[in-house]
Amino acid sequence: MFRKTFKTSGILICFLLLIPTQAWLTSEESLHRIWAVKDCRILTLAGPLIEKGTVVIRNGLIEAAGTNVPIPADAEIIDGAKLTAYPGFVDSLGSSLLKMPEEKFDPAKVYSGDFSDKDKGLTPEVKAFDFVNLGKATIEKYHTFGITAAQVLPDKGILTGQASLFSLGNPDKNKALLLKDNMLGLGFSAANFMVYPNSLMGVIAYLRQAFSDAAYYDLKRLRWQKEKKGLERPDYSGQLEILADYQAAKKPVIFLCRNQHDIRRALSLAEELKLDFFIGDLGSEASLVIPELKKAKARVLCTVAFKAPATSFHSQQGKDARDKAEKEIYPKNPAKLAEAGIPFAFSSLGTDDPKSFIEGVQKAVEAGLPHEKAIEALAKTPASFFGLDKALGTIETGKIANLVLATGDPLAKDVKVKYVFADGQKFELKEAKAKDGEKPAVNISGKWELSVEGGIKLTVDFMQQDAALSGKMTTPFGVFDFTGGTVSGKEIYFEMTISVGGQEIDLYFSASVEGDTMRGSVVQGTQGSAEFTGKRIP
Amino acid sequence: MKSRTFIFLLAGLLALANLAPAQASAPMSPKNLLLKNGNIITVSGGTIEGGDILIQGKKIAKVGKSLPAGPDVEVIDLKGKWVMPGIIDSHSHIAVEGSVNEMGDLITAEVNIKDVINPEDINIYYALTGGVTTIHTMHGSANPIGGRGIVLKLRWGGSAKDLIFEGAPTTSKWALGENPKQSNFSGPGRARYPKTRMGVEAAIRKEFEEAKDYMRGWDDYNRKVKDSQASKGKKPLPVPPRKDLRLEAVSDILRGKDWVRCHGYQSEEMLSIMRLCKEYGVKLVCFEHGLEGYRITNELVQYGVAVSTFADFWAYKWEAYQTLPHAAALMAKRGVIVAIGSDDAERMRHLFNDAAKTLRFGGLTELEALKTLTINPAIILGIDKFSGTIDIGKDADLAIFNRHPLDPYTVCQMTLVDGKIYFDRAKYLDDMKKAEEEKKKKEEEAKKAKEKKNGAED
Amino acid sequence: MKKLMTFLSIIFAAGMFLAAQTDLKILIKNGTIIPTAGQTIERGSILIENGKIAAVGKDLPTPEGATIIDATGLYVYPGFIDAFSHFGLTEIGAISSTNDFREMGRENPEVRAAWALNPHSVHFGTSRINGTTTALVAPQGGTFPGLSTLVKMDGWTFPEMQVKEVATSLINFPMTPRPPKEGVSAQQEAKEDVTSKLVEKIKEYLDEARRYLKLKKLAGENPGVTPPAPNPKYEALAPVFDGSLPVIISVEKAKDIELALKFAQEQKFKAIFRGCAQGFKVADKIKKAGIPVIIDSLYAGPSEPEDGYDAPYRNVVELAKAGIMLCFSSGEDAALGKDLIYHAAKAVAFGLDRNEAIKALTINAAKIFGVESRLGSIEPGKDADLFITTGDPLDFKSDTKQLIINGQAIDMTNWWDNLFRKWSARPIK
Repeated sequence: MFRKTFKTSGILICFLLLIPTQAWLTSEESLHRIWAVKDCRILTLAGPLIEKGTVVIRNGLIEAAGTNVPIPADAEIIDGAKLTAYPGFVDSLGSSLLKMPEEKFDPAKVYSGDFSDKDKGLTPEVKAFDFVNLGKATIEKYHTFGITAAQVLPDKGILTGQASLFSLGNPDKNKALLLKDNMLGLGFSAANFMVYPNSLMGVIAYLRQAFSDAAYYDLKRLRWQKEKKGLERPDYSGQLEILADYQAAKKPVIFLCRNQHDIRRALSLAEELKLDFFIGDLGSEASLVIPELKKAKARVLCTVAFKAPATSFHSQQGKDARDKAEKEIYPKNPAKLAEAGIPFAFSSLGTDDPKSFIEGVQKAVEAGLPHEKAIEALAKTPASFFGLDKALGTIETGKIANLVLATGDPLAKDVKVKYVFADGQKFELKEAKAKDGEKPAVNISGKWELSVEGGIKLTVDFMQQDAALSGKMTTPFGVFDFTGGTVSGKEIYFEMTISVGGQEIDLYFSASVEGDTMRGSVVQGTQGSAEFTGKRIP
Repeated sequence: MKSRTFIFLLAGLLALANLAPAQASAPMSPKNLLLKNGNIITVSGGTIEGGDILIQGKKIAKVGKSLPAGPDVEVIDLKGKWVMPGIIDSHSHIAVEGSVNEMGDLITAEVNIKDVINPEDINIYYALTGGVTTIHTMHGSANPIGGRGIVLKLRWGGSAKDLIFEGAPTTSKWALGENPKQSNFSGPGRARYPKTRMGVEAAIRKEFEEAKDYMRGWDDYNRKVKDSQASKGKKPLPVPPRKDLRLEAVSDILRGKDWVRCHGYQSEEMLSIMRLCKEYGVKLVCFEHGLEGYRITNELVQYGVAVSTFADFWAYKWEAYQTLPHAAALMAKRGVIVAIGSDDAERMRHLFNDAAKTLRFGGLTELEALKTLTINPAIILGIDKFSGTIDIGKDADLAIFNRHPLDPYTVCQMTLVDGKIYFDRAKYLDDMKKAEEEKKKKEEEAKKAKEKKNGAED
Repeated sequence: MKKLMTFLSIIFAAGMFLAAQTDLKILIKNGTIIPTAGQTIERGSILIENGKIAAVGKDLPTPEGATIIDATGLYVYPGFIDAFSHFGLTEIGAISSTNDFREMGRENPEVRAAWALNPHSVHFGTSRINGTTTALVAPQGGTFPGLSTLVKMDGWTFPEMQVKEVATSLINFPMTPRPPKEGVSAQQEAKEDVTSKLVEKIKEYLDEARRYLKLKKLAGENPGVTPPAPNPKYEALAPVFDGSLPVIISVEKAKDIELALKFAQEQKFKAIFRGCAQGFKVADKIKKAGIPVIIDSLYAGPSEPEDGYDAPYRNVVELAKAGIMLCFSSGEDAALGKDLIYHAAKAVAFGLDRNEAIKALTINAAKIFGVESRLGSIEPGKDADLFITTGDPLDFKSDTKQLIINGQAIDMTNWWDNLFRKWSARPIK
């Protein structure tokens, strides 16, 4: 059994990557595989700070790092004076590098009840590897903030999909891949339709049954394969096979926990279902569960958006209480985990782009997380979480050459990243032309999917011309044109009147746009309002 | 910062400071508390005017007059306030995260409210302001068999685990009538079976038969395993049946393990379910709402099933029309154990007002009316050993009012759970006042700063 | 006490019967009278003639042929006025064929509750048992729900019940959305103020109506001017514009109340506010504008949690303290009309002066709807709308012995009594 002899198929791939093979490289790339960064400050994370030293990179790996390191004759030289070298950061869990296919939702389904597993959120077979988008521009955006590796996970639904870990050195995902299908995402979000499960308690009951069925499937299958006669053979189930795989082989699952109560639920389920696991702390409340996390020897992936979850008491006490909590309480989450000795790394879920991810980490530092703990959580801890201590996380001989050359200390303010090495490929970063303060207006023309509080999904076609916004919205009740709309800075506003069963309902939308996402609220006449988020449909 | 919002921000923070933060459970340090000089409605043994209650740790240690206060005892002078056992709301849906109904399937016995307790729901606090100390929170009424509910003590500030009432029996929530047959919700969606009361009962019976079959399958398997072991391998080990958590939950109902709480309105559907439960040996404990229960009191008493109902909420749907506010009293006077529940976070805050309505509508005595909020729901929830009356050895769950709880002008002043004060109106008012004063001070300072600035600019 | 009650019930039954026969003169003797206008009269009497109160005082002479109701040990109050309800416009909430309170669409300023009210709804009978003798019945929904009507809680037909066929117009003021829970930036509030936009839309509608009326008037005076196409909606707004018809504006949050105050002032409306859950934050402003407030059902939580758990009740006390004229309503659930007194009692529990509460239930409501010449107190010349009760009418335990509407002792049996009588008779086994 393949999966029984190797811990993860990921390790095999990793092993292959370390064998230098000329045949995989273009002739151009093969000219620039040996580098020496001389006279720079080196933060190895494997020993004391080296004030002035040299790093030699050869064929994708770190050949040497330290003082008195001879510079090879075939090396290209980078003057490291005024530069600090440190291990590249790892985004331990994110979904922004995914480009999922455009889904046309068929409203007839709502009436026929003919929902797919995707509608129900049961998609363990969806692999990040199949949908990752590592365009050159995208990778360089990550490099700007010192990030050289990222774990990507589809994060929607209940059995959300499988993650893969990439080194951000090559737009070709086959070359960039570090670990394939290494974690299974488990979410607590119930379907929006009349389909089982569509409540949180249903999701939990469903997970129990699903893993019970997976173990049962495994039992029956093994038995049939062994005996082949005298037994009815089981139906094939791709889903159950995946779950059985993770459960039996102790591959980790990652629980996407929206708040502290989800974390406790996750710990309880992990124990009950005997799963190897990570806790995705999306609500920044892991610090409220420290004793239980310690007891379970849990590993946490902390987000840095620091938004108070809807269940939190702070969210129920009004805007000012919530804002205060988001400024003063939630950013302390990583610091508290560090203090308690809970191992954690950082996840970009909840932040829309690398800039806000790193800014979030800086916020955590301002809130009390010791600087070196932050760096550890961005570099060393992820290496150990992924079982890649030998290959990543520090600047040491033999490790993968993922490192950053910046004008100052990692995470310090006003520090600019000048060079990034990822898998030994050099990336030189140019200065951003636009000055801060001059905010260009966003252009949101195109198709967007809006998710409204209460589980409603709407597709919107925006047409923006300068500050004027027009377009149409597709709802289960028909397609409706905007009756007005404006764009100002990053804020948009649009309105329309929809007709439902003869009733006319006025809707007024306002939102803040950030890259390819937006967040806002919609007001309905005199009846009230609801929040929504939006994502551009590529 | 806007001045108005500032007060409430501060009040909110002060309120926060009152909470034990939702940290992992640090058990409240047992304290000795003497409440003296109150009018104590024990519910079990009359009312003691000018009486005292001594609380040790979480329990009521002594009840009487002129109790001595030993050393290490905190004394609170009630100054004639009224004390009753903490109100028990046997029918609620608060403190649940996510939807209260699992509408994806018809029979969802496997879902469990215990998995989705939300201890941060502010309605828990609001309930405390209305003298409620224990609630039974459960699945809604969308499904003929909805799932397991749970009894919680309102230990506001604790984690989900801290709220669970240890020792309370497990419950199973059923629903009959218009809600499971979806008479009153329309909107986009496929039609879901059942559409008649016939189908509701058919669905339950079908699931029972499947569960019996399931149990037979496992018995069969277990027997075959024994055979195989006895034959020392000559007979092959059988393949077990698939473990089905839903049918396991239904099997528990058939084994009489779960206490069934069945939502129903019309008298005949209640009678029919009683027949069904008797047939299958199900432990039917209580009808929820049972607004036509007043028509079948003989049958209810004979069967031994209680009713958890409203004081006067009615006419919101057809099956709630043939009823009257005297229904609760009519049932109680004829021997049915009647509890008055809320089914609603807002109503939970004034259950004591609801109970008072039975005095006029149906003529219950004050004691009978208070029983509907205390010992009766305790019996229905199987926790009467611990709560429901003020007696030595019971949990110190108490509600304190400035007037008799059934007085129209009464206001709840303090609520204790396990001997700890979780709601104190005097402190709340004090905090509000402090916040107001802080606000005024800030306004004054801002004004002075502005004047100074203007002065400097001249 | 029991014997006294039985005795009195016999007298009542007799009195009721006779009153139904003659319906001309009733003398209520020896009760404690709380007339709301003036002092309480111990051992007082009220003479009712031809539907009106003829005399109030101590030791009134008994006229020839008068039915006597002995109110010894009992209390007499003016009939309570429920300032907002859906009595007669709904029977069973979930069954749409029984509902007539909400028309489709946003703008229905011309539809009259009077055209749909069903006087035989069970809810009249069940709601008046705590002393309600008059109620405002209003439509709801949309921005302009329609025109309310003021009716007595008894009558063979609608015309017999009506006090004012058209009592007020109504506007549902937009509500500022609750600040979002998570994920939305705080800048949202500062940027697009959606509530103001919605108010602008209402103003545009009203301006259109004014234009219509102006053009219509001009056409009437000038043969050269073409009149506009007839529009009953705009027509219905004419009395609102000239202030002859008050308009009830339903509004909740402090910020919206301020907008509504400005709005009412600009439009020169004779406004009555309804709800004002956060009114306590801007009480002085409401008082300054001289606008009375209808308190909605107090079966409600705070408008925003930071207002405090007791905000709905504290609000009433604060508004009263600021000197605002208040009245109570039983809310939108017609089935719980009898709970009018429970809301008043709740406000009293949290600090409202009890006499103020009684005034709010009687003379205040009468003044607010412009019918104080007929209703709201026990005074000679006013309609004989009153009730006789065993105790404090705000107390759950008090029993209304007799309701008198338009000088008639009405039959108090209702839907509940019938069920009670029948099923009390089932033998216990």
